[in-house]
Amino acid sequence: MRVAKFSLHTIRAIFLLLILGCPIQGFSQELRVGVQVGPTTLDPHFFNYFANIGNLGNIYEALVTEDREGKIQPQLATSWETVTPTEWLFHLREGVKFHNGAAFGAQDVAFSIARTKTVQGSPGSFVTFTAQIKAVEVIGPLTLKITTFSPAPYFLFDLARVFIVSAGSSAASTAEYNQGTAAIGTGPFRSASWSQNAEWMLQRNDAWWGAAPPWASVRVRIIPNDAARVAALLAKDVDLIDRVPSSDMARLEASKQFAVSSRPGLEVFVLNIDTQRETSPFARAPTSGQTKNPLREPAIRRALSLAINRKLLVDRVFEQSAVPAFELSDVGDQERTGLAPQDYDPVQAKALLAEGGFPDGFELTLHGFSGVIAGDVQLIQGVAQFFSRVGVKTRVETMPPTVLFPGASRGEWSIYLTGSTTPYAIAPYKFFVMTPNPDKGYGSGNRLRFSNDRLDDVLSKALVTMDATERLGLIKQAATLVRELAPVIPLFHPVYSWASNREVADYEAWALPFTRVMYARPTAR
Amino acid sequence: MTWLLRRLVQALFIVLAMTIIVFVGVNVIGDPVDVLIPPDADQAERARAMVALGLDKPLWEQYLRFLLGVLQGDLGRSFVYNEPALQLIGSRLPATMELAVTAVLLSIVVGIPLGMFAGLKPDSWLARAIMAGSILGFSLPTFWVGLMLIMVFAVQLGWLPSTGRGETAALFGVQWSFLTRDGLAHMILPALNLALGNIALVLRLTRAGVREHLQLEYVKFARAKGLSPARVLFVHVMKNIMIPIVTVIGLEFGSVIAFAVVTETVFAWPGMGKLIIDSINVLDRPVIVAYLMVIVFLFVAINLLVDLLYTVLDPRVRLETRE
Repeated sequence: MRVAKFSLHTIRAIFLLLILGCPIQGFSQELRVGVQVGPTTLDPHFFNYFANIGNLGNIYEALVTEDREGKIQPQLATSWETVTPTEWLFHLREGVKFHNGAAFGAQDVAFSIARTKTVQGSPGSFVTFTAQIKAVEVIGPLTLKITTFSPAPYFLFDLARVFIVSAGSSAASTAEYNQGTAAIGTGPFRSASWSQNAEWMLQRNDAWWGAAPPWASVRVRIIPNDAARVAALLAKDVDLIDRVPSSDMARLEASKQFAVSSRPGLEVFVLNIDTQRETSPFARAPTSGQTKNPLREPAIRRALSLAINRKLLVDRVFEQSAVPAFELSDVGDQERTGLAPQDYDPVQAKALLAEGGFPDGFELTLHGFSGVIAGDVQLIQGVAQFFSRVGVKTRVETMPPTVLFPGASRGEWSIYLTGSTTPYAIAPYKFFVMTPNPDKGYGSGNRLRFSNDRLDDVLSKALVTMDATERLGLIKQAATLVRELAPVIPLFHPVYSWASNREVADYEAWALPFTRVMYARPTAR
Repeated sequence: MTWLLRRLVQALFIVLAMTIIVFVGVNVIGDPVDVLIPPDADQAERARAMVALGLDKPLWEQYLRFLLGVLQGDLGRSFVYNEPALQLIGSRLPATMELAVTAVLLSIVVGIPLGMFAGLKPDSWLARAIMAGSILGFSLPTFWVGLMLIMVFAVQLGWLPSTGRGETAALFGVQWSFLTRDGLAHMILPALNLALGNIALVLRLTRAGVREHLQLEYVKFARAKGLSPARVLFVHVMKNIMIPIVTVIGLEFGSVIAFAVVTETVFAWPGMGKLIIDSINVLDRPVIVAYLMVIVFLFVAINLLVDLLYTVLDPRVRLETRE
């Protein structure tokens, strides 16, 4: 038998490895994450849902992506230019490989865009983001031309939602994606195993094109209950959680063990108003016989907006988990109109009520949702109190969103609470205040069918204006008009928060509700 | 055997009535599309989703299509997950079942002995403590107790994991938690939380039964005959008090499966309860219907089992069924 002899060199080498091994061991550990909502599918083109985009962004990539401030950054495309206002030329990243080793190229992008239109049985498809694409032309292995039907200044925000899968997977069905066999992207992590609404295991993609992610594996646990998610963090069963409830924020911030990071989210909550009908079911003068809808008068709607002390309301109801909204998109790093915030002014509000023909106010019922975000019921009650203070006798009814929104579509309410994401400044305008137009996709959130020609003109022009300065001018016009006409009353922007165990990781908050695990930084020991 | 047939026919009608109620009910609430469709989608996309989910057809046609599917063993596909609803429920069933069975076993193993003790020695301080504790058992909300269990055993003491199912192992092709150490550790708190109310219930029933029966003639006779106190209690009294207890445990087993929602939510236990809540939130009708059908079926089956147990426990019931 040969006895192994260690030379001095070998011992030295082992010693060196041990020393080097220590940081590597710390470097390659597992991150355990607790998220409120997990992916409903691993098929990136099946269901357009924020939790799918947020979670799947860990394994798939798009041509471009949003950073934590919501600004567009290169991802699979390194650069792009607009040849004409409707023609975009994309130069793709070199040396990118899919998780199965297949090389990434322009044909994969063309395939993925086409696939969004063919996925079967989708309850909300990604055609929303690709419908404006007229043609996709593969010019070279890493060059691609996309033509849109009309100039689309916000096209990149749509492309950020279209994850790229391999053209070689052409026959894969949604079920095959869900089983994991087809869930192959180019992202920093690959999906190792997924059990719906329970746990999702991710493994580092060592062949990723960027700097190696700090975690060898990530265990994503789905814990929808807020208190349970916080408890899991406190019990150190997970290292990072999203959507920290405001009631636990102060405690976590005060403790040395945990770190909290927050950022106002690109999302706005508003009151949507019945501005069109002669009579409205829940708004009328207190004297009997008078059935005129007071909300038809812009002065009355402005009065309601001025009657709300947003800062106080948000402070009391949401503490740190929301910021007041004075405009539809005065949050984050978007195109800002620079209009001064319209402040709380009950005197002016009363004057406007008189101007609108209702000096003694009127009767109103607000409809809100419950159980969507913590504090949603208290919020609408607070609004009602502010309205009552200027003389509008206001009552409140809250219900689950499954009842509220279908009812709103049928025109059953006079004012209701609703929300929208605001990936770019003009998105909530297009959604809430443009005249509904199914062909163009305008006003899809305008359930009470507000309509104003001037506003439509300005907005539809802004939506096809490629020049940024000119566009900002149009957005300012639109914002001023919305303030005058007040078809919606902006209330607040929610704040997104993450909390982590300081011993393990740090996570800087995003303006989008996305937990992108590669950006969780391991803390030095 | 006719009563068995009669019950099966009854069950069939219950299931049929239930499906109609759910179909109409969900339709009254509104379009699932209104809820499911992403806020940034436009009207064309909405129309497309309606067609994709078959919601563009009139309600009666949707219902007939569903019935036709049921005859072929297809309860529809989930709107959200695009998977057969039954398969979706089936994948969650084991998690709920093992939790429910453990909870019911706990309520038997803990509830009956404690109840017997409290019935035998009603005046001892221990019996009083047990009875006082049992009031807490069924009056405290499960939700709060669950969180307290997590705070104490997971956060403060750090003995047990706070949420999730832990490691699972396969048996008969299904993943179970109770087969691994880690899985068992994960099961303790949720099972205890789920069992707490039932322990109290079984305990009180047992105590009442024991106290009542100890006064009866046959017990006095058995004692006079010189039977050991243990035999009197564990054979004669036990057999007689079991009928109400079996009924309650049977019914409770059904409710534990059907309404484990709260515990499953607090402990992030991936069972059926969580699935149904998620589905109701987004009006995922195929899953709601299929889930309720499964639950109705379970209740019918459990009641049948309870009836069969009666005949084992009480010879009089056996005689009646023969006639």
